[in-house]
Amino acid sequence: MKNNRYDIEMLSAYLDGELSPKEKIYIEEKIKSSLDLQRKLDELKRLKSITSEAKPELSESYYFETRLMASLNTAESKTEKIKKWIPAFTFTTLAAALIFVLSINPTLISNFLEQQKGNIADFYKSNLKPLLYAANLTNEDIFNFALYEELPLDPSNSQTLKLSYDQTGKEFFEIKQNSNTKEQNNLKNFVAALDLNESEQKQMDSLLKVYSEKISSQVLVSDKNAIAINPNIWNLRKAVLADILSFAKKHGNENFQKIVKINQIPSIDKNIVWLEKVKNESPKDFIIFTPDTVFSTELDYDFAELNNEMKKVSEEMKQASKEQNSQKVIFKFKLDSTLVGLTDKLKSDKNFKMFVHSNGVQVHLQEMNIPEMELPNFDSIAVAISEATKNFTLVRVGSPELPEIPETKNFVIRKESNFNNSIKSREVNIDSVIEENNKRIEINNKKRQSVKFNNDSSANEVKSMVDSLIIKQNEELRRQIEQLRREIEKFRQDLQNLNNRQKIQEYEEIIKLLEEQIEI
Amino acid sequence: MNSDNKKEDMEQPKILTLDDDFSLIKRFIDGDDDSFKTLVNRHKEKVRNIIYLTLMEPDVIDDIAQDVFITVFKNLKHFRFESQFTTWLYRITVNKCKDYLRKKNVRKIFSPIKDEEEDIASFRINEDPDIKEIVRSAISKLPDKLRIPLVLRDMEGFSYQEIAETLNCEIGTVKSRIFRAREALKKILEPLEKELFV
Repeated sequence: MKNNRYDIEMLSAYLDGELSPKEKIYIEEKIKSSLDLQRKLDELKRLKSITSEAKPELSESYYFETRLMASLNTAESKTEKIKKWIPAFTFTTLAAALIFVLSINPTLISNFLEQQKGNIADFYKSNLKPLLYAANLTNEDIFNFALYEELPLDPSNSQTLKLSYDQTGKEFFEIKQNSNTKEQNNLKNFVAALDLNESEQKQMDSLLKVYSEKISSQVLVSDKNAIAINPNIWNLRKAVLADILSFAKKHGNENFQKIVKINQIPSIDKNIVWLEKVKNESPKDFIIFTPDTVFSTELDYDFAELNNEMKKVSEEMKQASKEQNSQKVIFKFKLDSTLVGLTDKLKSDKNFKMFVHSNGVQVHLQEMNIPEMELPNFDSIAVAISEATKNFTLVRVGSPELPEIPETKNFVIRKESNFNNSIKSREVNIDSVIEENNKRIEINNKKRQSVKFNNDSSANEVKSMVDSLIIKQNEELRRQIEQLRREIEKFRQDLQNLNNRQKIQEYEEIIKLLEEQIEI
Repeated sequence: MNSDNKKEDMEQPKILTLDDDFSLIKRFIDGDDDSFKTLVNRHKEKVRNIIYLTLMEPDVIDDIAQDVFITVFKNLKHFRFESQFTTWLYRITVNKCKDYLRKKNVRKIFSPIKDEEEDIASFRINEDPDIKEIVRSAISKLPDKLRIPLVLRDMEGFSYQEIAETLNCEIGTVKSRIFRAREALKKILEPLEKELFV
């Protein structure tokens, strides 16, 4: 077989006329004696002929030389040699120049690095804008900030800045995605609960407005994903809470006591405006937090001038169009994997410690100077108020067209009370109480009959037991009706304040209906 | 023999006529750019043919041929007159083709899989099959190592010696590869034996 393959290989070369004379004689003799080889030779011949015939016809290439000469004449081919050396030459020249310069001025690089640091700080410092214009802070936001220590960073309220204290009492701030939506009417509820009159409400609003401007100048954001926080904001938070509480105690003392338990109410000096205390000691050093770094730097900011400018701009914009997207700075801090890298960078930093969690990032201030001042700590009351405001529900009486009545008042009714919020449900409730009572009596009667039937001897005993049950239930019913009456009485008193006669008539009818039901 | 003549050439390049390859090259080295044009004109078709046969891709022939002559132009001053100009030229040509194939294979790795492989048998479906086309297609399926010596021999009429010099390998290797190429080609064309060999 091996010989055969060797022979066939020779056959192929024989066909090509590439054998030495000796080999040629050898193979020709072999062919003569072997039919197989003859057949194979024929096969190879045919194959060679069809291969040769298959040679493709190639059309002529016009302008081949012209094209070639054009490409050869381009600067590329002639200057290629020079080009090859250009990078090496440039590099050598630059290196030599650098060596020369450094020999004259050895501190150049360190100076340069310092300058770069400054440039980075400047980069992030530029375009910083007070939060008021970025997030459009409302009085509600300020009130919530006092209670929950959280400030929205953008108008959509999707990211918040939370200020807090860790276990060791050190301040930290947190930027997080706002997942749980806070009650939106906390301030309204609070004001309603205190039952403030119009001028008092205006005072409250102006108080919050002042704080809003003050607070927004303590938190600056930029479109470069930087956020600058004045350490004094922790104090401001305490102050705004203290001022709100002191105002509440001053103007709505009785109602205030209803919200906060008497033993919780601190002795607040009504004449102190806490804001004044904080104002004087605002430091110029801001903590600037970016996805690349955290540093503290002095920030000279002419807020008065900026406020004026921004007011002008916002007024112009209001006039020009009433589009909602008039806010130019939309701040959105990127909470992504790059922050994890930042935690490693900050490990050696004495001033800051950072923790990244799934929902946001926490920056703990280690050795930052937060001016210490004597501010009352009302955080426990804040909790009580936030609990209480959650349990308030505003019920607007005079349902269809309230705007017609200028002196409409809001009624605040405690959720926990047995008295239900809506008039409709009150009717249902009384019916159901009576109905249920009747059913019980009926069932008891049946029971009594069956007991009688089964056991006559104990009949009297059972009867007295059932009677006492009915009495008890009736007492319960009476108690509820009594309570209902009291509520109605209060309701009527409230209604007397309303000037709208038509409405009063309506309500009196309702009350009459209720009383009739009670009598039934 | 051919090779003996060549040796003489190598030792003492004879200027037989004024426009043989060597004298043209010498004139080029002396600064006559027109002699290069003559060289190009003389050999371009052979070069283009080799490229076509080696790659079986008509679209790239001229670009590669241009590239070949640019390389020749840049290196002609260093030509040592030790072998025929054509041997040197064809070696450059085949090397350029190999470069192209290498790059193409790399590109293939990074490009999505396509059904490039045409089934030879599918030619039978065609009512009027072009036998030449079928054979060319079959040849194109051979691996480069076998295909290039075969086409240089059977289509371009190169001697084994010339092929060995062009491909920079031994004559024995050329002989064996051409034989293996024919065996492989026969296998590929086996299903069409009747149509092809009647």
